[in-house]
Amino acid sequence: MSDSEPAPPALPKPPPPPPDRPIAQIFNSLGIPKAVTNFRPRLPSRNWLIFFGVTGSVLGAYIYDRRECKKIRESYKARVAHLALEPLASHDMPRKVTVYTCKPPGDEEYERAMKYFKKYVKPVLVAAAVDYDIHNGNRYGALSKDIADKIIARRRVAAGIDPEPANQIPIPGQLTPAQKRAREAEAGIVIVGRHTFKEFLHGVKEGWSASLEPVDEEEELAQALSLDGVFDEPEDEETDPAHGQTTRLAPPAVPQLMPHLLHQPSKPRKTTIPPHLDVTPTSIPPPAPLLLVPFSNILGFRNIPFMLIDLFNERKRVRAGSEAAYNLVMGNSRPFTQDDIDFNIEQEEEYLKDFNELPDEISKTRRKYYEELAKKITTARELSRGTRPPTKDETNYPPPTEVELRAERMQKEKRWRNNLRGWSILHTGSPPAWDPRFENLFRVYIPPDNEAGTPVRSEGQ
Amino acid sequence: MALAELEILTDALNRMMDSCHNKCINPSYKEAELNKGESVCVDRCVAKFFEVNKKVGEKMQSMNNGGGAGGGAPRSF
Repeated sequence: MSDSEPAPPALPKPPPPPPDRPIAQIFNSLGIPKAVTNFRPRLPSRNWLIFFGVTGSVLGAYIYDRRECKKIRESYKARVAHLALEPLASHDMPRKVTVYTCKPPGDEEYERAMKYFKKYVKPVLVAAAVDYDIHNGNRYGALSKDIADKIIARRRVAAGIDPEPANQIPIPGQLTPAQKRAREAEAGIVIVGRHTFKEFLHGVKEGWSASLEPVDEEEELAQALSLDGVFDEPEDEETDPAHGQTTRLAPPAVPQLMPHLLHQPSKPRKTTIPPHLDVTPTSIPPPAPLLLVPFSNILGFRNIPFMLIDLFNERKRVRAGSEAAYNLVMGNSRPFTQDDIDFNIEQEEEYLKDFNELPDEISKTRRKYYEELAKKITTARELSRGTRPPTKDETNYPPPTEVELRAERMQKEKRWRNNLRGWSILHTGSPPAWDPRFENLFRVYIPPDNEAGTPVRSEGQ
Repeated sequence: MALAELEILTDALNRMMDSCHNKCINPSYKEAELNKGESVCVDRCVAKFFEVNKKVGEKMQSMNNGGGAGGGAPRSF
């Protein structure tokens, strides 16, 4: 029996436990358990090594980057901290800079540039006790309009059309508007990114060129819209509703909406301002020096690798932002040159195709909307005149009435037109607005001459 | 009624003073005047406090009007 059965294959014997080293014996006799004295560390397996290697280097790169960021920020803060320790009399005001940011093209997040400012520039300003006032444009062109409106309001006051805004309660130490303006002209303007730069220039140009006549945009839009005949009654509706509908499906006005979007029709308005007051000024009072902060906003699925690279190179942006803030705090400036027109122009290459094709997108949406609208108008009229009884659905969920449709259309047109106006300022390749009066007007902050750290203030050029 | 209003107002002011003082002012006093950093900080702190108070008040007002069962009386000043 025993020889017929094949012998079981000899199992590899487990290696005999290594003999205890003499030193281990001593430790054992001292009461340290064998598990401790027998511990022989060895390298983990290949897979573990790969895992540790990859995780460790990614984490290490990240942590290294953030530590560098902290160091850079601290070094800039330390260089300006002495300014925050200066005493300030109770009626004096600290320096307050104006910060302009606006929605980056093609990005749904309209506060991105503002967040960029807060993350990279602000810490140094806070350390230097420079107060700031952020103006963010939430839609394309909103910032530019805001700036223009403010300038126009200021011009109206200067021309004596509007009264000076009066203070209700006199507060000790309150500044007169002229003093306020003087303070602003010394304080500085921060502009984050090329898109903001373009909107800023456009707004300033618009503000100093536009008429002082108040414009009611809703009213103008309503007039422009009332002319295009979308809501007109087709004559043959009573006799042939189906035919009437088809004629309305292609509203003749829709394609014509495009041209007068970019250049508004200059129809004569009723004027309330004597013409000698409503003149375009020949020169512009110099604004505060500009701080041009480079900004980059990488978007899109295909750019994810670049986003990852950026994740580990935060220190570059921290350095750029802190450097900019430091220049602002130190206040050394030079005249604006023609090269500055191309400030941060590489940002324009980052815009997504979607943004540069915004007009096509809008006209497509608009065409679709008007096709829908024509149907809705027919329904609304039929129901309001009682030419047919409402269906069960329509009683449960009443369709919009004509008034509602008009309001909705107004809203949509307004949004489209504003977006298009903003787009015409911002799109890739559009030159920043320029005016002959801008010559020798702006100044730009540059690094201080003396790196020793004593503040150099531009004396309100 | 007026007394309660006054109490609310004083309370809010006290809380604001406390939080802004804690946040902005270095407890090791060296000079009588505030320095620049402190005054900028206090400025922003107070402005923020008022702004938040206003926003919360508005929100609660709208909740009161809209839901009916919304929170208590608005406590803005």
